[in-house]
Amino acid sequence: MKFNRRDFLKVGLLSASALSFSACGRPVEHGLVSQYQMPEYKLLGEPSFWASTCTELRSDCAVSVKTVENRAIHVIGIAGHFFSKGTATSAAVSGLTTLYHPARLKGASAGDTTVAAEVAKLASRSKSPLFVVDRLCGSLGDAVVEVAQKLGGKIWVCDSHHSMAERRILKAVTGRAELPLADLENRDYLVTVGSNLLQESYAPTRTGWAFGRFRRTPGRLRGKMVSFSSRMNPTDANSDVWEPVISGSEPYVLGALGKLLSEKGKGAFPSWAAITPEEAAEKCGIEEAHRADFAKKLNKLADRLVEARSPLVVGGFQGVNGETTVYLAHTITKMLNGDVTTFEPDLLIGNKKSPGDLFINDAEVSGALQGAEMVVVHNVDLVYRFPWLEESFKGVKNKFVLATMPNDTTEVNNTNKGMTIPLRTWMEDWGDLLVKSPQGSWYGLAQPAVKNQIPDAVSALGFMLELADELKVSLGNKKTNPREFLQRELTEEQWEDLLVRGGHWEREPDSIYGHEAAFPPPATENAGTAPDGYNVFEGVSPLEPSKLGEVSGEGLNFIILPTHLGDGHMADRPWMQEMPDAMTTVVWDSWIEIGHSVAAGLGVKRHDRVSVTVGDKVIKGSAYLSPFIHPKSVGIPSGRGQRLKPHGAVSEIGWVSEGSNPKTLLDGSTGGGEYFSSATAGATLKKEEGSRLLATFDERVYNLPRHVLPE
Amino acid sequence: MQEFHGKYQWGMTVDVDKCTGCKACVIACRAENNIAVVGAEQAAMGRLMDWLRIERIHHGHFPHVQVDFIPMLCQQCGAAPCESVCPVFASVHTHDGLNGQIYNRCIGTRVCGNNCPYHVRMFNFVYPKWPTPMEKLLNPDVTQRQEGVMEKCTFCVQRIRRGNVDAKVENREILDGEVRPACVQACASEALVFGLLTDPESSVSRNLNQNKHRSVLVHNDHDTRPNVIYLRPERDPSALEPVAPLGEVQRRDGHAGHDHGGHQPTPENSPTPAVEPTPVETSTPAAAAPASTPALTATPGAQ
Amino acid sequence: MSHVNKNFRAAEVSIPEIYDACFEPIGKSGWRSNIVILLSLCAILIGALAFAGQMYYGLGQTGLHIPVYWGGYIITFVFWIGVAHAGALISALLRLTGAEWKSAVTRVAEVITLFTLPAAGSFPLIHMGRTELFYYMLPVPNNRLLWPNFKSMLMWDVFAVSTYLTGSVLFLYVTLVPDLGIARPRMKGWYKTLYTLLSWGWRGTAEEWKRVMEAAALYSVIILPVVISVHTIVSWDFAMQLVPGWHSEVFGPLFFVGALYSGTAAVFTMLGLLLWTYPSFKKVITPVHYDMLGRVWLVLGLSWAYLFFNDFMPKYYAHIPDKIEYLYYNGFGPYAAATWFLVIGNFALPLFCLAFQDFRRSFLPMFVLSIIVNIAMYIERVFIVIPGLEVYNGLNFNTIPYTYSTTEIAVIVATFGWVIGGLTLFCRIFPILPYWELAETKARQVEVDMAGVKVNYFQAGE
Repeated sequence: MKFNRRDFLKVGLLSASALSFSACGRPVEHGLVSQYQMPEYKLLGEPSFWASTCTELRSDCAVSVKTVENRAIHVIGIAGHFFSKGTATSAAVSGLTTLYHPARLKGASAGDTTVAAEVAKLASRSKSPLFVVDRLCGSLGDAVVEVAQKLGGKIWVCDSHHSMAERRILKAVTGRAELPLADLENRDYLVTVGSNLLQESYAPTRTGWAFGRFRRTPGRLRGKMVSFSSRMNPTDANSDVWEPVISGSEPYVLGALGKLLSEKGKGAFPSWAAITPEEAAEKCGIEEAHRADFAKKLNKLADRLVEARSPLVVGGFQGVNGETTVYLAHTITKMLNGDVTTFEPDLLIGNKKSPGDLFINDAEVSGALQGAEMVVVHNVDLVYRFPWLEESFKGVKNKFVLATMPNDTTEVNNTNKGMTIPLRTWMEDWGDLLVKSPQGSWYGLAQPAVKNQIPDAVSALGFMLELADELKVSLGNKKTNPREFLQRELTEEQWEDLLVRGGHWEREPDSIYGHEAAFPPPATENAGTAPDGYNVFEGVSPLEPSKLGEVSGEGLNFIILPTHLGDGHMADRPWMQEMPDAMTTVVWDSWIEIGHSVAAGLGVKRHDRVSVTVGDKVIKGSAYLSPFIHPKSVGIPSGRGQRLKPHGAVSEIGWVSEGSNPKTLLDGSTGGGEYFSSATAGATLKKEEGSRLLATFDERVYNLPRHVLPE
Repeated sequence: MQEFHGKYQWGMTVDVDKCTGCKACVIACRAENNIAVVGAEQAAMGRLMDWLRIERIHHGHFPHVQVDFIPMLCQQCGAAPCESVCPVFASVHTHDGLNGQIYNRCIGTRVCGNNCPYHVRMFNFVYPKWPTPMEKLLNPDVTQRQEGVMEKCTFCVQRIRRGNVDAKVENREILDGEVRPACVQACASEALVFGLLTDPESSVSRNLNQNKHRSVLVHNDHDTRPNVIYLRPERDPSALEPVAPLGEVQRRDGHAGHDHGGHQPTPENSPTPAVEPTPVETSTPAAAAPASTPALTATPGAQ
Repeated sequence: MSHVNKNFRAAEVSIPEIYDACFEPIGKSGWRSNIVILLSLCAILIGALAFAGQMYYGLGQTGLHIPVYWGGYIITFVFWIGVAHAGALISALLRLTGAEWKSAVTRVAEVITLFTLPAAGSFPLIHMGRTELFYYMLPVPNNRLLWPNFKSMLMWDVFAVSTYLTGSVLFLYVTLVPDLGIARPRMKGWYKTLYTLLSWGWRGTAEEWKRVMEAAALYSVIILPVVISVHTIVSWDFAMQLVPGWHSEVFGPLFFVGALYSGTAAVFTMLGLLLWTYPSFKKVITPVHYDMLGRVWLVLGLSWAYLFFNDFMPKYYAHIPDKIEYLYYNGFGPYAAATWFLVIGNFALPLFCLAFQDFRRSFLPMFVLSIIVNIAMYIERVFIVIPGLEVYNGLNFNTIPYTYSTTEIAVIVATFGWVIGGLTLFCRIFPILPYWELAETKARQVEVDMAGVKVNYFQAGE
C-alpha cells in the first residue's frame, strides 16, 4: 500500500488532534485520581484510570485501577471517598497478580448452553439449595437473595468479618442490625480486646486513616490506646499499653470493666457478665503475684474511660467467646457514649422482604450441607477455611463452585463430580454497592478496568442475573447484561459521572444529579425494628452466662494468628507471600509461635521442628519464639497451607515453602455461640527432630539492645 | 538541621506513631517499581528485593513488650556514603537532592551496598522472573533491572520527573502534593508525607516544623545527612519496663513528658494517660505515684 | 673450637654443583608433579564451569545475601594479594638490605608472585555482577565523556594491582634472562626454542650484566613503595567503609605487614615442597637459609601481632557498642572457633616456635608451620570481611550467617589450582633457583683464617 505525503499529513494531523484532545481531557484538579477517557483519545503509553470497587477484603472500597495499553499496572484509592480515603490496601494492589496469574481457572465446559442455564436447570429440580457467599451487598446480593428465595434455599454468608454475627449483636445492643464503624477520627481513647481492628476492619484504609487522625491531629491531643489479647497482633502493637490475657478470657476483661463503669455511674451493665477486677485477673490467667496490679490497672482504665471525651471499646471475634467479647464491647461503648456508630451496606433494589430463615449461621451450616441437594459456592474457599465441612460438601449431589483461582475447594469439587466455573476478578467485572451511614451515604459502582482475561470466566453479577432470568425471577427489569442492568434507570450523563468517580458519595443538591430517587435516603426511624430483609434478627436473647465458656488451664490454648493473608484466598499471590508478616517478619512459610518460657522448658530454639497436637490432629512446623504470645498459647498463622500447591508457574518463582492450615486443628465447634471459634484448648506441643530454616528478617545475629531511633 | 545544596530538595517525614505496620506502602512500591519476587528459597537466604521495608523493632520481654513499626527506605542522604565508593559513578546525586542509581552503568561491585548503613540497597542476585502473563502488570515507566545491578528506592523518580515535565509545560513550579511516591500515596494513616524540604510552605516542611520535638534522623552518627526524617512515637510509659527509652520523651530534667512542647494546649478535662506509670514489681501503690508526669496533676479520683 | 658460630658456616657447595642443582629439574617430569598438574587442570576446569554458571545465573550462585555483599571471593582476593607480597619482600627488601642468603629464594618468591597476583586480580572481575562491563572501570575516552570515579578505592585497586603485576612480571623476566641464556646450550627440543626466544640473544657480555644488575637495583627501590601501596590500597577497600570492624585506622600497615607475613609463609611452603621434590636442592637451600628467612618471618610476625592487637584492643578498651558487638560476635559467637584458631595459628604457635633456632633450621616443622600459618591467614581474612558485615546492622534485617556456596568453593579452588599447577609447571620449564645469583654469591665467598678461626665472608658485589 502506498503511503504518500498526503497520507502522512493525515496521520500527522490526526495524531496532533488526538494529542490536543488528550491534553484537553486532563483534569485540572490534581487530587482527583479517577479520570475516564475514551481510549481513542489517549496516547500510547499514557495511563488511564478506571474507577472501580475492590472486593479483596470483602468490604467494597472504591479504588482506581491504573491501566496502560489495556494492562492494569497499579491500584490506587480514590481521593475523598469515604472508605478508601485515597489509598488502597496491599490486598487490593496484589489483586493484580491474580488478574494475571498463569494458573487462573480457565474453563468450565457446559457444551452449547451457558453455565448459568445448566445451573438453573438443576436448581429448579433440587431441593433446598444452599448458597455459600463471601459478601452480600449491592445488586449481586440482591440477586442472590431473590434466587435463593425463589428456590426455597438458604444463604450462608461466611465473610471473614463475621458480618452476620456483627449485625445480630448490634441489633441486640442498638436495635439496628448494622455493621460497626470504628470512627477513630472522632475518638480520643481506644480499648481493643482481642481485636485486630487495623488489619481486619471493614475498609482497613478508612480505619488506618482514622487511626492516623486519632493519633496525630494538629491542635488535638494524641489519642491513647490500650489493648488486651493473648497474642500481640499488629493492632495491639500500635497501642500504648498491651496487656496479655489468656486466650478466651477477653470477655472477663470486659466484664470487669463494665462492672466498674456501671459502678461509676455510667449506666446498667448485664449482670450475667459483671465480675470484679480480682476475679477477672484470675480468669485472665494472670500470675498470682501480679493479680492485684492487674485489677488496679482495670480500675485505672475504667477511670480513664470515664474521663475521656469519646472513648471507643472494640472487641474481636478471635479465639473462642468472640461473640461475647464483641457483644460486651459494644455494650460498654454504648454505656459510655450513648450509642454505637454503625453503617449499613444495603441491598440496592428489588427485594425488601425475605423469610426469616433465609440466612443460616455457622452452627447450622453442617446440617444444611448434609440436607442440601445443590450447593453454589461463590468465591469462598470452603474446604480450606472450614475443613470439617469437607465430607458434607463432598456428599452434596450437585456442586457448583465459582472461583478465580484453583484452590482446595475447586480441587475437591473437581474430584467429586462438581462443576467449577471460573470467575472474573473485580478488575474485569461490574458491580455496585450502596452504603448508608450517619456520616453520609454513598453509591459505589464497579466497572471493568481491563478486558476479560479468561474467555470463559463469568461475571459474578452477570451469572446471577442470568440465573435469575432462567428461573423467571424478576429483578427490576429483564436486562441480564450487568452493565445494562446497573445503568437501567440512569441517564447517560449520570452514568458517565458514576464511571468517572467510581460512584456517588458527595452530598450534592438533588437538582444537579437528579437521580437521587434511585438512592433512598438513610432510614432514621428504624431504631427499634430491623431494616427490611433482616427479620431474622428479631427476638434475639442476650447471651447466657454459660456461654462464656471455660478456658482450660491444662495444656496450651491453640490460637490462630491473624496475618495479612487473612482467610487464605490470597495465598497464591507471590506479593502477599513475600510480604513479611507484621509481627514475626516471616515470609512464605508457616511457623509455630511459642513463648520463650515454653520454649526454654522444652529446649526449643528458633527453626527447630515442633508439632502441635489437638485431639488426633497434628501440625508440624518450625518454631518461632516470640515475646508477643502468652506462654499458655501456641499459635499458627492463618492463610497458608493450602493443599493445592504449587500453582504451576508460581512454583517457577519458588514456592518451596511450608504452609500449614491451622483450621485443620479445629473441629468446627462454636465456642458456645453460633459462629465457629478460631481457637481451642487442649493443645499439646512437642519437640521434634531436626530443624528447618524459617525465612525471617529479624534474625539478630547477636542480641545486644539496639535503639534505632536515637534520643 | 538540614543544609540544602541546591534549589530543590525532596524529602519525606515518617511518623512512626501513625504507622500501623499494614505494609500497603511495601506492596505499592512493588507494583510501581517492578520489583521482582525472589521466592521462598531466595527469601530464606536473605535476598528480598523490597526497596521499602517495615522494620519491626521490639523492646523488652514478655509481657512488657513494646513494638514499633519503622518504614526503612533509601534516605537519599545529603552526604551519601554510597556515592563516593562506586567505581563507575552508578550512584550519583541529582540536582534535586535525590540519590540516583543508574542501572546501566552499574557493574555490580556492591561496595555501595556494603557502605549503606541502612541496608536499603538491594542487589539482583538472580534474574527477575515474571511468569507469563504476569509481565503484563509491569509499569512501563520504570526500567526492569537485570541480574547483577543494584537497585534501591528512588522516591519514585519517574513520578517526580513527570511532575517536572508537566510543570515545565505549564510554565509553573511543581505544586505541593502533585507528586507523591507510591508509598506515600498508599499510606492510609498518612504516616508518610513527601514534598520539597526547600519549600517552607510544603506539607512536609510544615509537618516537620510542627513536630520538631519528635524528629530524629536514623544513623546520623555517620553524618549521612538523610532527607527522610522520622518522627518518634510518644508512648505512654505505664506498665512497660523503664529501661526502654524509645518512645519516652525524656526531658533534660529527667521527667517523662507527654504531648509537651507548647504546641498543643491541654484542655482542662483532657484525657490522662492510659494507666498511671506503675512498675509491676512494686508492692506499695503510694510509691508509684506519678511524680514524673507533672502536667497531669489534675486527675480526679486517680489513685 | 669451643665455640663455632653456626651462622657463619657457608654453604659447602661448589659452583658446578649449583649448576647441576639449578638446571637438572628442567624437562624432567615425575609422577608426583604430573598428578599435581593434572589435578590443577581439573580444578581450573571445574572452576571455569562454575564461573560460567555464575555468569549465566547471576551472583545468586554464591552464598552472598543482604547485608553480606562481599564474601568468599573478596576474602580469597585479599589472601592472594597478601601471598603475592612474598616476591616484593624477598626480592626487593632483601636485595636492598644486602642479605647474601637471599639468592636461594628470590626466584621462588617472585614466581609465587607471578602466579598468585593474576589469581588475585581475577577476583574483582569474578565477583562483579556484570563482569562483561569491567571496562567501565578503565579510564578510556568514550563518546559519553564518562570517566570512572577516581575517588573510589576500588579504582585505586585497579591501578595498584596492575602496576605491581607489571613490575613483578618485568622484573622476574629481566632476572630470568641470564639463566635462560646460560642454560640455552644444554636444552633440547622445544625447550631450546623457548629458551632461545625468551633469552633475547643473551651473550653474557659485561654490558648486559651491568644492565641486569642495574635493573635489579632500580626495581628493588621502585617496587617497594608500590608494594606498600598495593596492600594498603587493598586494605582501604575495607577501611574506607562504614562497616564496624572494617573502619579501622590501622588497616593500612596491618594488611601490609600481614601480607609480608603470609607471603613468607607461602615461600616456606614452596621451599618445603621443592626440597621434597628435588633433593639436590638441599645443597643450595640450607638450614642457614631457613634460619635467616625464619628470623625475618619472626620479625614480621611480631610486628603483625603488634598491629593486630592495636586494631582490636582500643575497641575493646573504649567499649563502643558497635565495636564491642563485633568483638563478642567474633570471640564468642559463631566465629569463635575460627578466631581462636587464628590467634593460635598466627601468633601463639609461630612466634613461640620461631624463637628457637633449632626449630627454624628444621625443614619439616617449618613446612608444617607454614601450612598452619597459611590457613590461619586465610581465616584471618574471613575474620576481617564477614563478621563486620553480619554484625553491622543497627536495623533488623539480618538473616542466616554467610556460608560459601559450591560455586564459590569451585572458583576459589580453581585459583589454588592455577597457583599450584602454575608453580609446578614453572619448575619444570624454567630454573626455579637463580643460578647466576647463586654462582655470583658463591664466587664472592672468601674463607679467611682469623687467628685460628675460619671465617667466611662475602666480598661486596657490584
